[in-house]
Amino acid sequence: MKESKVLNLALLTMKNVTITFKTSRGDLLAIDDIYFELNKGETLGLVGETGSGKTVTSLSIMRLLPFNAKISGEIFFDKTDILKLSENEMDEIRGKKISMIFQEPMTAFDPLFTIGQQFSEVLLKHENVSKEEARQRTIKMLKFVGIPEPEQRFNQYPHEYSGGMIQRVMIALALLTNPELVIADEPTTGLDVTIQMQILNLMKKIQKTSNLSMIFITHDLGVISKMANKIIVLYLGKILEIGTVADVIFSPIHPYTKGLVSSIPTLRTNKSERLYSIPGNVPSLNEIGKGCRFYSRCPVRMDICKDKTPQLSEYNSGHFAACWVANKNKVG
Amino acid sequence: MNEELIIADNLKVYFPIRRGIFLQTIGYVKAVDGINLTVMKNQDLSIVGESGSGKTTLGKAIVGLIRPTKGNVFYMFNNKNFDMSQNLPIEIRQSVQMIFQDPFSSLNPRLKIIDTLKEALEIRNIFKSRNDIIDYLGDLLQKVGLKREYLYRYPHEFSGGQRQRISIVRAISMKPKVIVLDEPTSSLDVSVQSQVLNLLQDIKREYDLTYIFITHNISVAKYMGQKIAVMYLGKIVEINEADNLINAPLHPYTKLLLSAVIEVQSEHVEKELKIGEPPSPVNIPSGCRFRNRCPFAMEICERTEPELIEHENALVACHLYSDLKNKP
Amino acid sequence: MKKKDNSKEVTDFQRMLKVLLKNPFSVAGMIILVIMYLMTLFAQFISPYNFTDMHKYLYLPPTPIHWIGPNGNFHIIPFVYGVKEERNPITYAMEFTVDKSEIYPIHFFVRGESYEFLGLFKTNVHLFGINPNAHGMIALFGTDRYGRDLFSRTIVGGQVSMTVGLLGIAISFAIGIIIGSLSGYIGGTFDLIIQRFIEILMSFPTLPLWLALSMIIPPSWPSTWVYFGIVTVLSLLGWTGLARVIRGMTLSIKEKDFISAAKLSGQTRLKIIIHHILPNIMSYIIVVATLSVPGMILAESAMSFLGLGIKPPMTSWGLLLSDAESLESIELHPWFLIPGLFIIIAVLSFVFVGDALRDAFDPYQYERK
Repeated sequence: MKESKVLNLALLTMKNVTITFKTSRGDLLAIDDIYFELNKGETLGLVGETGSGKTVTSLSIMRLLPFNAKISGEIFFDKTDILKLSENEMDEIRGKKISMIFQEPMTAFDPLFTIGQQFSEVLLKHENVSKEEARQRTIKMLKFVGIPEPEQRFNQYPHEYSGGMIQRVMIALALLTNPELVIADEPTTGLDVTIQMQILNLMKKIQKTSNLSMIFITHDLGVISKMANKIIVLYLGKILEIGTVADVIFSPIHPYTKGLVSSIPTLRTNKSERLYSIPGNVPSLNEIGKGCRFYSRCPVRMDICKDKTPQLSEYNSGHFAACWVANKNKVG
Repeated sequence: MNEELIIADNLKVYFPIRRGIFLQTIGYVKAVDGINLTVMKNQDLSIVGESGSGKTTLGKAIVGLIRPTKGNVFYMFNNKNFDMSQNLPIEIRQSVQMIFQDPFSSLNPRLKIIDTLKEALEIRNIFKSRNDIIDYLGDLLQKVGLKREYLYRYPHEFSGGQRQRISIVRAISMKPKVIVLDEPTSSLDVSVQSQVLNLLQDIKREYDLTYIFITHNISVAKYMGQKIAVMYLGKIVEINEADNLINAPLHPYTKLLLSAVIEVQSEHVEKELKIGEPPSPVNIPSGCRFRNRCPFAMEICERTEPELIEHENALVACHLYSDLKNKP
Repeated sequence: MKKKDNSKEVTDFQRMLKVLLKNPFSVAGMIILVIMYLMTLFAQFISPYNFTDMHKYLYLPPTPIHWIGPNGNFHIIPFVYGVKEERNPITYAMEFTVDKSEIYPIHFFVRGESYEFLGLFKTNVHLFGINPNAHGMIALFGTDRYGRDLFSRTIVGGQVSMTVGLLGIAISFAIGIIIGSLSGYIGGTFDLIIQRFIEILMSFPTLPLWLALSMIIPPSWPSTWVYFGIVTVLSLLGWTGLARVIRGMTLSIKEKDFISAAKLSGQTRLKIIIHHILPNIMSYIIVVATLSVPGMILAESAMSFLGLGIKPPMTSWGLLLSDAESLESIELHPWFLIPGLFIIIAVLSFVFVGDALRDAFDPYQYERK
C-alpha cells in the first residue's frame, strides 16, 4: 500500500494497530497488528465471531477502550493521528465527526429524557445553534429516517418507541451532526427479519444520499454482502482476508472465509445435504499459539502454519489474504 | 408409519398482566391463542415466527413446562393418550424433552457436568451403580464430539457450542421420542452453528427422534423440518411441507417473511414494502391479526378471523383462500 | 480425573480469598472479629476479676500501666500504682488518688477469684492481674458504681453481644430461607399472602414491638433463658428482610433454563429448590447474613440499653452502656462509654467483611471466557 495514497484518499487509516488487555490471567492480545484504510464514501464490513476483536476495533477508533487496554500504532482520521489528541480535542471529533450506532439502541438512550431533549443536547454541544433550530433539525432528521409524526415523537420518551423505531432513531442521532464516519456495531442483530430489512433499506438510502463513510460490524455474511464495498475478515484479532464483496464472499481465499461462507444453510440448501462445518470451537484469546491463529481448526493446515504467522499478501488487485497454503499454491 | 405423536387441541396460553397490591388482573398477554397442531412420528416440524409470535411459549406448553389456559396437549405413548399438563409417570415424562436457546442458562453453574447429567438417570433409577452411569454418559459425550473427562468439569469451562452439546446429551440420555428445540443455534458463533445442526441430524437418525424445531430463521427451519408452521401473534397462519412453503407461500405473512430473508447468494432487491411492525400481543387487532400489515387486506379481514383451512395440500388461515371472501 | 476437579475448586476458592485479602479493611475486620470471638470464648480467663465481684474502689478511673518508676528507673515488668482512699473534707465523698509509693507489678497466670473455665472445671487462674491483697486494682477501663471492673464486664458482656448476632442470624436465616424460597418458587396466592404478611410485620414500629415481645419473657426466668428469649425475639422480627431477598433471587433463578430442564427430567419441587436454587444463591445469602449481624448486635444493645433485654446479673455491651445514660455520668465517668466503642468496632468489622465478601462473590470479578 503506497504512502501517497494513504494521505490523499483515505478518511481513516488504521496503521499497525495492536491492542492488548491487561487481565489477572495475563495480557490478552485482542488486536494484533492490523492495517486497513477506509476511503470517503466507502462502507467497510468487519466480519468476525466471538473474540475476533471487531468491537474492540471500533471502540479504539472512538477512543473508548476500557482503562486496562494498551494500544500501539497509529489511527489517522482526516490526516491526524487521533491517538495523539488530547481528551478535549477527541471530544470534538467523537459524536460530531465520528458517530456510532449500537446493537442495543434502548440502552443507548437515557430513559429520563425525551428523544427531542437528547437530540437537542447533541446539537447544542457540537454546533452553534438556537434551541428552535435544534428542534427543526431534529424533526427533519426523524422524518428522514421514516419516523411518522416526528413533531409529536419529538416529545416522547425512548420507551414509547418500538424496537424497530428506536433503532431508526439511533441512526438519526448518529447522522445528526453530519459526521464523516459512522460506525455501526451489529445494528440489526436481534431484530426480526422484517425490521432488519427496513433498517438495512434505510442505511442503503443513507449510503446513496451522502458521501458518508461507514464501518459496518456484523457476524452475518448475508447482511454484509448487501451493505459493504469492502470486507475485512477478522479472526482472534488478526485480519485473515480483505477484499471487495465479490472477492471475499464469492471467491474467498482463506480457508476460514471459505468455511464461513459455505456453512450457512440457505433457502436452497437441501435437507439431505450435509452442511459444511469448520471443526472445533473458537479458542479463547489466551489459548492461541504463535503461528497462524486459525491453525487449530484449519482443514488444510501445514507444518509451517503452526510456528509462523502468515502475512497478508495480495492475490488479485485489492484482494489480500493471510494464509500459508494459499501462498504456496500461488507461488507453486 | 403415519403415527400421531403430539396433538395440540385448541391450545391457549394467556399470561395475566397484574397490577396493584393485590395483583388484580387487568389484562392478558395472549401468547398462544388457539392452536391446533398435529405432529406425526418422524415428521419433523419447524415453527417459524418473529419475536412475540408465541413460538417459545408454544414449545414450552408442548413439553408441559407451561400449563395451558385452555385446550390440551396430548402425547401418544405406546398407543395411549397422555395429557402433557398432568402428572405423568416418569418414563413418559422423560420421553418428551426440550433443548433451550441460551447455552449459558441451561446448565446449573454450580454443578459439575456429571452431576447435571446424572440427575435424570437417578430419578429414573435404571442403572445399578454410579460406574454404569459414568460409562453411559461418557459414551454419549463422545458421541456428540466431546471428551469423557469433561464430566468432571464445570459449565463455565465450556464454550457456547460445547454447552449446547452437553444439553443434547442431557436430553438424549433419557431416551426421548420427541425433542422440542428452541432456537438451539441462534446464540452460537456462525462457524459452530452448522456443526450443531449436523449433529442434531445425526442424532435424530440414530435415536429415531421427532423434532419440533423453533426458529426465527426460515432457512434453518427449512433445513431442519419436513414441515414448517408459520406463527403470527399466537396463531398459526400457514402449515405446509417445507419445500412447498418456501417455493409457493400462500399467506401474505409467509411471503413477507421470505422476502425479508437476506442471504449471501441472493441478489439484493430493494423492496420498499409497507411492512410495519407487529402489534403487541396485548392488543390484538380484531378479525385477522395480520390485516394492519397486509397488502391484500379486505373488508372481511376486519370482521372475521380466518380459520386454518386446507388449500392445495397446505393449511392456511387467510380470507384470500376462503369462500367467505365472496359472501357479503 | 478426581484430582483435576479438586484443584479447580481450590482455584475458585483461592480467587475469592485473594479478593478478600486484597482489601485491607476486610483483613482488619476479619482479624478483629477473630480476636473478639476468642475473647468471648475465654472471657473469664482473660478478665482479671469476676465481672460480678464488687470492690471497694467505686468509680475508679482506668488505671494506667507504667514502665517507668516514680524515681525514673525502668521496670522490665510493667506495674500499676496503688490507690489511696481519702474522704473529701468538703463533700465527704470517698475519693481515690494514685499512691505512687506502692508499686504492684502485673503478673501473668495469677491466681485470683475462682470461676468455671468454659463451664468445664473450676479454676482461679487469670491471664493477668496483680496481687489480690494489694491496696489497689488493675482496672484497665475503670470501675463502675459498685466497684466492679469494667474491663472484665466488657469482655464478659461481649459474650452476649457477639453471640446474639450469630445465633439470631442462624435462626432468622432458617426461617428466611424456608419461607423465602418456597414463596418465590411456588408463587401465586401463597406468595401473595406471605408477601403481604411480611409487609405488615415490617411496617410495625420496632420499639413497641420489642416492648411487647420482651414483656412475654417472664421476669422469673434465669438469665440464660432470658438470653435465648431475646435471641428469639430478634430473629422472629429479623427474618422478613431476608426472606424477601431470598424470594427475589429464587424468582430470578427459577426462570433459568436449567430449572426447566430439571423439571423435564421429572425432578420434584423440593429437590429443585435444594439442589438447584439454594446453591446458586448461597453466596448472596452469606453476604446478606454477614451484613445482617450488625443489625442484630445493635438491636440487642438497644433493647438492653432500654432495659428490655438482658437483665443483671448477666451483662452485655448495651446494658453496660445504660450506666452512661445521663450527661452528668458521662462527664464524671467518661470510661463508661468504652463498651460503646466495642459495639462500634464489632459492627464496623462485620460491615467491612460483608462488603468484601460481596466483592469476592461478585460474578464480575470472575472473568468470563
